[in-house]
Amino acid sequence: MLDYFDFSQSRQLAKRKAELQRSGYKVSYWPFVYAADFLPLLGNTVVPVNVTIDGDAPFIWCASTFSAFTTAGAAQTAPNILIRLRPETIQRELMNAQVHLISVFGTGERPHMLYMPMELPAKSVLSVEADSETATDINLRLSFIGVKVYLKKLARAV
Amino acid sequence: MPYQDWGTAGQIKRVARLYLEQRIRLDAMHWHHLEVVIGTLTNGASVSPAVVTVPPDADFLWLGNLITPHPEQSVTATGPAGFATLMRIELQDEYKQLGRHRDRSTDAPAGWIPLMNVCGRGRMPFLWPWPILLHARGQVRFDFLHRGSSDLVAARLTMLGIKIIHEAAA
Repeated sequence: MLDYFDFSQSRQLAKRKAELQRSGYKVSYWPFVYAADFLPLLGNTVVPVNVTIDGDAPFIWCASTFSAFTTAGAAQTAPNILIRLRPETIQRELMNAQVHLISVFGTGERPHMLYMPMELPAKSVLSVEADSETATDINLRLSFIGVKVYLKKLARAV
Repeated sequence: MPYQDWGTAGQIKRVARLYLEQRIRLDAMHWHHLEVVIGTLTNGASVSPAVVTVPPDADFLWLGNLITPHPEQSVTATGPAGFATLMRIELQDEYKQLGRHRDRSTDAPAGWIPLMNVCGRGRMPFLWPWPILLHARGQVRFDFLHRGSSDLVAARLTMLGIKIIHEAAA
């Protein structure tokens, strides 16, 4: 029986790995988490943060999670925050308008899984914009979970 | 079927095949937990480290993480209310971190991962999108930093995974 949320990300990662191997690369995946922190996101403000992918490897983004606390330390399970995401490299929006935080970010127990993992090139930038719709200041930490893709070009026989 | 279907069963089979391709005989594979006893994290205190060592008799395929007590559990007055704990994970043998590491170009400070973003609980564990193979005697270092509304008491992080016992490990 297939789960409703069977996005088979593992199969998609394995498929990508096989494609790169066929192109003559030795490929190794390394689980990795990129962070976008808003410390704090002041009430009723819009704050942009850029996440820059490290230069040592491209990143395949698989899932997203968040945690949010008031500045006094009280946990917020569904803060009224809107989010807009834009990978600058491909110059395309991922959404036509801001969407609610909990629509695109989950928790460690239930991450929001991308139905199709997204590959972000090394040194590229993912722009994240958080729009607080509440008067409360919130410490918001977003995690982009995925794998770094380490590539090594294999020598070709002549 | 778990909520997060990373195809974990397929991943375990894939890793088993890697051993066989290297002509290493597998004696046994079974689920196994490596427990990180965090204990009490004082709110606002400095970094608390913990090091976990893989048993010498086997490799360990690290699949994911659990945390207890979970913030949604009702425990004590000083329980996990305000579970604003951050952690850094470093594989000692590989000098690699699982969160953003120090960026040599900008020298930005090493990054921290919110604990709740990569830990689940028994009924719904967090699973890495791609498991990590730790070799026998390998060490993983965790650094914890707690910035909640109260102390975090009796906390335990569980690394769940598969113990791979093979002829070369002993």
